[in-house]
Formats: sequence, structure tokens, C-alpha cells
Amino acid sequence: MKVEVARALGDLDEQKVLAGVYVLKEQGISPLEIVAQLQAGMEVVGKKYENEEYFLSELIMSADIFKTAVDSLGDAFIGGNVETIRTLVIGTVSGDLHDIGKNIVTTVMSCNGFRVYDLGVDVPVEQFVDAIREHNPEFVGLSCLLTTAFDSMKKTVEEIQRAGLQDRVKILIGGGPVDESVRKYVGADYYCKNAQDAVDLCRRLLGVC
Amino acid sequence: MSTVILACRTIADELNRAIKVTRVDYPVFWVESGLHNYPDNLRRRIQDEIDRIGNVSCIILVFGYCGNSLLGLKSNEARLVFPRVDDCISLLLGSFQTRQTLSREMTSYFLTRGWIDYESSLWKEYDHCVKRYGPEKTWKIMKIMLNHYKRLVLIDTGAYDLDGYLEKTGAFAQTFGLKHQVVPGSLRLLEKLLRGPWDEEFVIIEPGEEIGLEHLLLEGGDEEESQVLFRFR
Ligand code: B12
Repeated sequence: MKVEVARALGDLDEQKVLAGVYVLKEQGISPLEIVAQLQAGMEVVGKKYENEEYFLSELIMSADIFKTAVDSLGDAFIGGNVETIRTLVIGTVSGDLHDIGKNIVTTVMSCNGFRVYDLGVDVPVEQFVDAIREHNPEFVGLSCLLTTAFDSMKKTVEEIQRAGLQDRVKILIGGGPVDESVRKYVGADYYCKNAQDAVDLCRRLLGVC
Repeated sequence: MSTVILACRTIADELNRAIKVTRVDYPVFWVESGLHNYPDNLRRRIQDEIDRIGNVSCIILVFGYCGNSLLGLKSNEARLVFPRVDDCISLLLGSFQTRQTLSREMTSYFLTRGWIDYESSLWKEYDHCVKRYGPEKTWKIMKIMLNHYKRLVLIDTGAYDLDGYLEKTGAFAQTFGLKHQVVPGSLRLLEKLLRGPWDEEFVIIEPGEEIGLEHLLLEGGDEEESQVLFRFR
């Protein structure tokens, strides 16, 4: 059954995914484990996209099914008490409108127990600063798919520093062309290759592996 | 000293036109369109072509940087020269500046004939979707895809006939509630790439060197605008 949920998502069979999730839930499988299966399904989709078997449409559909399936779990799985919930403020930086990847990170982080404030796309620098002041997050995530938006990332990081908030948050960055050299260029704390990376990193930083 | 051109098929109309205007007669090798959505695959394809070409001292790459598609490319024999632009949208508008101005006016998705006919653009995506999933699901997917866009811009590069394309893009824009606009393109950068001089608007990579992020950064500039990638004052 487990494998089936992953495979059904890989095949973009929404009915089958939702039915599978329901059965797993009834069997008492932990929500986190179900989410892990769904993420395995997303990886299948990612591979098929890389192999040019899937178009963007399929990528978008998969993210949509993924989100619907996760939502169907309710928030039973967040676990822990409210005081220990950690927060992430995330957004796509100014000038950039890509959000498929950022939305996946948002969903995956949420279902791994983080409270996520998603500021959307083309987010002005000040809005990140304001959101940090307002929500007091442990983590700030910047997403960027356009190489020309690297400078927006850089400015956002600088502005967070100028506001004296850099000791309160860890800044993570991600998105297609982002890598370690980009992290250095923009002055962020960490770079994440994908959503799971972000979860693992945040857990590690919190000391809750 | 022999030079060849290695170019992306998506901008064939414009390159051919620039070749005609400048009367530069370097041999042209084409890389097929459709790889734009897969920067890693595109990079591999370009490297394969560079390796295959051999026996030349200079290869003019008619590509944008296209999301790291050029990152890590190298040739042991030839110099590599390419325009310092983030992608072919900036290239065909004549500069990143123009692109930025248009995008700030209103969030825009750009098209040319090449993008419509060859590239796996929004356009192909739409056709693919309708065929495979029917109109209802297509609508839903396209809405997610275009969520943040307000305008569909057809770039008139002067290298192709707008007839037939205007109707297409107009109808598409209407379907998805986008503003529809034609803006003039420019072959300035393409012509300069062919004719020279290769000033700071171009990147030159010596034989044996690998293309890296550091080659794209422009030093200096005023503090306020920071040290802006691909941008010119
Ligand atoms: C999908 C897409 C689009 C869609 C976007 C739909 C949407 N709602 O987002 C559409 C078709 C609308 C589009 C538009 C444009 N696009 Co586009 N697009 C892409 C494409 C093909 C895939 C991006 C994607 O969604 N990947 C899938 C997701 C899941 O991956 P991801 O984003 O990398 O995210 C993962 C990780 O990176 C990480 N991650 C991402 N963000 C974050 C953030 C944090 C904090 C963390 C921890 C991790 C993390 O986790 C994610 C999940 O694992 C890329 C090429 C590519 N393959 O990268 C081009 C690409 C980014 N686009 C490009 C271009 C040129 C454009 C347009 C200018 C095209 C045009 N004709 O106008 C416009 C841009 C307008 C603008 N101002 O932004 C170029 C960019 C070139 C450049 N200048 O840098 C690219 C590289 C294609 C290319 N080779 O030329 N695009």
C-alpha cells in the first residue's frame, strides 16, 4: 500500500492517491510516514520531469495533488505543543514570479510541523523585514529562479542585517540556479537543494534530528 | 583564426536576420529548442556540441545564461564568447534594462515566434495540456501557472511576420484575462555580438577556462544599485 501511494502520485492518479492516503490513515500509519510516502511520489514526478517525460503541467498537477493529499490528513500530525512549534517565513524575492518550488517547500515544511508564513512572490525587501518583526521566526526562506534576482536576494539579506535581525533568524535560500557560490554571493546562512533538505537542515539546527 | 557560431534554434529568426544585416559569414551550428525548461540538459547539449566542433579558435555562443545553462562550459581549444544577458528575452529586447522596465510596469510573460513555434513555452504547455487533460483541467493548471502574470507581451523583433501570431497571442491573453501588448524588440546586441566590439556587454572565456558565476558579475557600479548581474548603466 505504501509504495502504491508513491506510485499513484508518480502517475498523477489523484483518486488513487487520496484513496491510498485514506486507507493508510485508517490503518493507523503515522501522518509523517504518509507524508514521506507522498514525498517519494514527488521524487518520482521530479525524475520523470528531468527525463523530459513530464511537462510543467504534470509538475504543477503533482504539487496540487500533493497538497490536497496532505490537507486531507488534517493537522493531526503537527504534534508537539504549540509553544515548541518553530516558524518559517518564506517568499520569492523581488522581481521573480516563480513559485512552484517555493510552494512545495511551504507544504513540506508545514507538514513536518513548522508554522509557515508564505509571503508570496515578488516580495519587496521591507516586507521580509516586517514579517520577521511580526512573526519572530527561527528561519527565513528566500526562493529565486531568475539569476537576475540574485541581487534581490542579496539586498534582502543585507536589509535583514541592517535591521539588526540577523542574530534572530537563520536565512535559507533555494531555487533552480541557486548553489553554494550563490549563497556566498548573497550572504545567506544556508543553501538547500530541495524541500527535504530544508526540513533536515532546520531539524539539525534545532537539534531535533 | 576561425570562428563558428553555436546558437539556440529558438532565436533563429533573429540571428539569421542579424547575420544578413552584418554580413558575417561564420558557419552556424544549431542546438534544438525545447531544452530551456531543463537547464542541466541544455548545458550538456551545448558542451557536446562544443566538443564536437573542434579545430576552431573561437566559438560565439548565441544563448542567454538561461538559469545556469552556461555554467561550467569550457573548450580546451577555442575562446567562448557570449552576450552578458540572463536569457534571450533580455537579448531580444536589446538589454536587461528594457526587460526590467517592462516587467516593473506590469508582470509580464514574453513571447516571440520562436518561443511559440519551437520552445517548450507556455504555448506548448497549453497545447499539451488540452490534448492530454481536456479543457477543464487545462484551465486549472494554466491558472496556477499564470497566477501572478498580468500581461502577455509579443516581442516584435522585426525578424518575423506578426501576421497569424497576433491573433493567437491575443486570443490566449483574452482566455486567461491577461493584457495583450506588442513591444518592439531590438537586434542591437545580436548584431554587436557578430560584429564586435566585445566590450563589457559580452563575456569572453579563454581556452581551458570554465564558465563560472564570477564571469557574470559586473564589478563596480553605484552603491545603491549594488553590484548588479547582467545589468548595464
Ligand atoms: C516553471 C517555470 C516557469 C513558469 C512558472 C510558473 C510558476 N507559477 O512558478 C512560467 C511558465 C510562468 C515561467 C515564466 C517565466 N520564466 Co520560467 N521557468 C520555469 C522552469 C521551467 C521550472 C521552474 C520550476 O518550477 N521548477 C520546479 C520546482 C519544483 O523546482 P525549484 O523551483 O528549483 O524548487 C525546488 C528547489 O530548488 C528548492 N527550493 C526552491 N525555492 C526554495 C526556497 C527555499 C527557502 C528552500 C530552502 C528551497 C527552495 O525546493 C524546491 C522543491 O524541491 C525553469 C527552468 C528550470 N528547470 O528550473 C524556468 C526558468 C526559471 N524560467 C525562465 C524564464 C526566462 C522565464 C520568463 C522570463 C519567460 C518569459 N518568456 O517571459 C518568465 C519569468 C517571469 C518572472 N519575472 O519571473 C528562465 C530563467 C532565466 C533567467 N533569467 O534566470 C528558466 C531558468 C528557464 C531557462 N532555461 O531559460 N517559468
